[in-house]
Amino acid sequence: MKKTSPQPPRLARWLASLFLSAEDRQEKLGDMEEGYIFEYHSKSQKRARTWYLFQTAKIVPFSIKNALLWSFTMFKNYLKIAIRNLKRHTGYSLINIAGLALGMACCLLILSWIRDEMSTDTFHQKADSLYLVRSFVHYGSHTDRGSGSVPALGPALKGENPEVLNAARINNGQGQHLLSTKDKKFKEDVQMADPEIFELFTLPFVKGNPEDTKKGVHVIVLSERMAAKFFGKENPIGKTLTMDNERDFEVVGVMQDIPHNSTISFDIWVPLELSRSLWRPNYIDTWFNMAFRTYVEMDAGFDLGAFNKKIFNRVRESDPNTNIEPFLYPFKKVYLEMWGRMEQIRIFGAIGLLILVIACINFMNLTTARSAKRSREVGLRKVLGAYRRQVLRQFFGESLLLTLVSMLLAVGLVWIFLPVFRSLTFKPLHFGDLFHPTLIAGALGIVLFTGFLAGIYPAVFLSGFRPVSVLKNAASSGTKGALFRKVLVVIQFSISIILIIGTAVIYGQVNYMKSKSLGFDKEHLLYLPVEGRLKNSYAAVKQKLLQNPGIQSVSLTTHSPTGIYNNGQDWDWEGRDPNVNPLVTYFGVDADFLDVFRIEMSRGESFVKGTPHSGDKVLINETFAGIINLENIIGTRISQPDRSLRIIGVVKDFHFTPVSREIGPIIIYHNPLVRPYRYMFLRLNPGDVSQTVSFVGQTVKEFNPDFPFTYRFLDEDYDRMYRYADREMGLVQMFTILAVVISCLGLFGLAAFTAEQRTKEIGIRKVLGASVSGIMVMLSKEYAKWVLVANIIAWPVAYFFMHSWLRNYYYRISLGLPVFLLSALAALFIAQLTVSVQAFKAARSNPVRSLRYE
Amino acid sequence: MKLLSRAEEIILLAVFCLKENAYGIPIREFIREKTRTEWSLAQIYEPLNKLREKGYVLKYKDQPTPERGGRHKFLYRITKKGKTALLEIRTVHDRVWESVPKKSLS
Repeated sequence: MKKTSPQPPRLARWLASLFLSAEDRQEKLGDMEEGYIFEYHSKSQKRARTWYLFQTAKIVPFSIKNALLWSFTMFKNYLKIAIRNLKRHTGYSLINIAGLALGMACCLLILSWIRDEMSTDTFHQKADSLYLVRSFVHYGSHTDRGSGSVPALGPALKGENPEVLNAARINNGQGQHLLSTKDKKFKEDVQMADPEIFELFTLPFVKGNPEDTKKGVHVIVLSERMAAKFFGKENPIGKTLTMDNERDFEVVGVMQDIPHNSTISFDIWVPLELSRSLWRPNYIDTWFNMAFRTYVEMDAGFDLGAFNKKIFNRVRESDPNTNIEPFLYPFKKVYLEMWGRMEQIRIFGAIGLLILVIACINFMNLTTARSAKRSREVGLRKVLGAYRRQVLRQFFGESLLLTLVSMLLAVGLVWIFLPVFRSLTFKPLHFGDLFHPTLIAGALGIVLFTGFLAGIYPAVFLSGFRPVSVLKNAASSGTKGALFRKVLVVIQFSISIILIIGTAVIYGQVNYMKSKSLGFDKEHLLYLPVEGRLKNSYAAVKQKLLQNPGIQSVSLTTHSPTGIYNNGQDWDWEGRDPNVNPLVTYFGVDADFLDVFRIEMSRGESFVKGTPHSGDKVLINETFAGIINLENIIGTRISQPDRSLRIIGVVKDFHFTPVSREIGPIIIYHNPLVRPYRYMFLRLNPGDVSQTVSFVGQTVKEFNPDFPFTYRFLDEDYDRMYRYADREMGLVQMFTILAVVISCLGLFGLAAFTAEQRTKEIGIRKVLGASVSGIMVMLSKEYAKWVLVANIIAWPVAYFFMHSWLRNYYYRISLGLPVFLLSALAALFIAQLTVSVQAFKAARSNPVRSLRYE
Repeated sequence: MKLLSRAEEIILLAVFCLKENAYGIPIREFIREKTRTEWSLAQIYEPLNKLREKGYVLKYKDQPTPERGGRHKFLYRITKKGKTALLEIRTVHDRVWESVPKKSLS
């Protein structure tokens, strides 16, 4: 039977069916099929097919037009009802929209921050084929993974391997130098690097020719802002800059300022070859130090594993005893993974999502709660022939409308909050950046996601009403879904409590680190670089400075204690366990060091004051003494293959690396011949500090007139070190407060609803003699219970996350019960405060009014 | 009352003449027979919808048939209002044509 009946073209039929409503599919497609068969029998199959296709072509635009007309009519009705509903419950609508808008604003801010993070380094056109040569450094039992590599490797790779297209070395960190024109002098950070970096990275020149960077050692490239600083509006090309009053450089190029989202960042470039005359002639030809980073541009399709082996062999060829194993690391992963930014992105992404969920829950709760009022509307619609699908569509549409309105508000909020956010993140985010395609897509995604998530429960719940029961007995449906709402409130408060605990723990940890004793007194310590002619006359300067009563004592050091990264291994001592091979830090000081820094001796004696050096006599810290673990440590000799030192004393442990790190072993020596002093530390008397500082300035200027006087306070350095942690804390705090506010908004609305529902009950209770406080307790008790349940969920989750966060810190606070209890109390207090406003209003209402109509 | 358009007039007449069997295909046949022109189905549905909105025809669901691929048939029936409209357009026609003798056109 089926075989004999001719079939119209399937594709056309399917196409037509796409545009037709359910009823039209029956009527129109049926007619078309009938007509097809008629044509088929009366004419030919070909004619019938043509006829069918023609009908399809005509019916599609007709039905689209028709459908639009109808949906527009219905849309007008839906919109009218939606707006009427919003107007009727202005309070609830405001709470709803405000909560959503706040949540979305948070999400937008976080999204723009994430986009900025993710965009780091993407502007370099060759980013995909660039690699950083990193190194494993094997120390007997353990292996370190560094971001540097041996300096001789870069040029060797480029010359010897066809797959290496280009290579450039860049000095780790920048050196501060005095740069001067005829009339201007500034101390600036100068980056030393191979001229090939202008080929590897996208650093376009505004003026000058990039080729000129290779024409000698004494060439210099400035960023636009630097060029403006030194030369104003003049063309700097060909002009001369003098470095440290010693050597002249020709400006060969001005490059565009490097954007903030780049891991390669400098304002002044000089060739790496310069280091031959600044440091040692062959320092950049060695196969052992790690002071440089090497970037290579690789041919597409090279074999990474084989290449890594090849370069390891190359290093071994030149230094058979090497413990350095180089490997290539994709440049694109440097910022996000090597610098560990991905974790931050995940944390803030999760926070954004959680806030959005909280806002959605508000919306769901308030809408379902109000659904009692709308059940009759749904019932009537259904009686008049609305399909369930239509009601679903109506409610989804309504929630989309609200989310759209909220999104517009959110954009406004972002505009208001952006300056605050900018100062918290230290990112130059602009409102205009918000209109980046990814962000617009993200915002639309948020609208759809929120609209769907927020609308799904009300839509399914309301469209499922049975018209008969709803119309017969409308009052009962308000209590429907009460349990569901409570579950949502519990989830909401769980999230809030997790965030509160997180904030408290981060705050505690940062404070702990800030207030943790460093082992020395960092207050009132001023320091200045030993440079220019100071290098030769520091003893005299010191003499002169000490005459001022504002200066207690002065010491010279090789490093600042904010970070001493000068270390080595292979120390030997009597009775050393062969498996023990610690990485020991070296710190050069003069005899006044302990006085100036107020570091206490633990055992033995200190350096003798007034002597120019103490020869092989050194101090060690308690950590190192613990590792050596000898009863009579004073007088013990410790040696490396080329030197032997004698321990004369042990000092108490102090922090010489960031406080988050474990204190390691250190050798403190007093011998400027090993390494010249670079800093002068002055302990000032509290009092008229500014006058003392100006005295120091005059004195230094007197001895070293060619250099401007620069100084810093050590405690400010430490504050700067915590800036990052502070920033993270500030952001988490802001978002936590917002999350709590949004949760409370929802609770506020819900409490109002409950109170309203129980108006009559409250009225009867009051008539029968209940007190205001009794009714308030009755109304609040309910929510207190659910907030407490939320704690049970929140605690383990918060414990898990914060425990793993704290593991990043060697010295950390313990996760005690008080944090959890206080957070719980805070949540409970805030929730109660929110609810009690409504409870009070309900409890104070006049029972006559609520019972009048009974 | 607004006058019917020519397409509406023809289709409404078709629905009236076809009585219990007025739907897309027979209407199309009716039009072909009377006007000797081929109308697409969409050209029929469009005025039909308008007639329905004006309340001149009623639409109701009929049984599915195999030649429709098992789809329901939707039939149309003229209402009293529809008949009045037909009568009216006829009167207008007659009145207009009255003053034009057939001979004067050829």
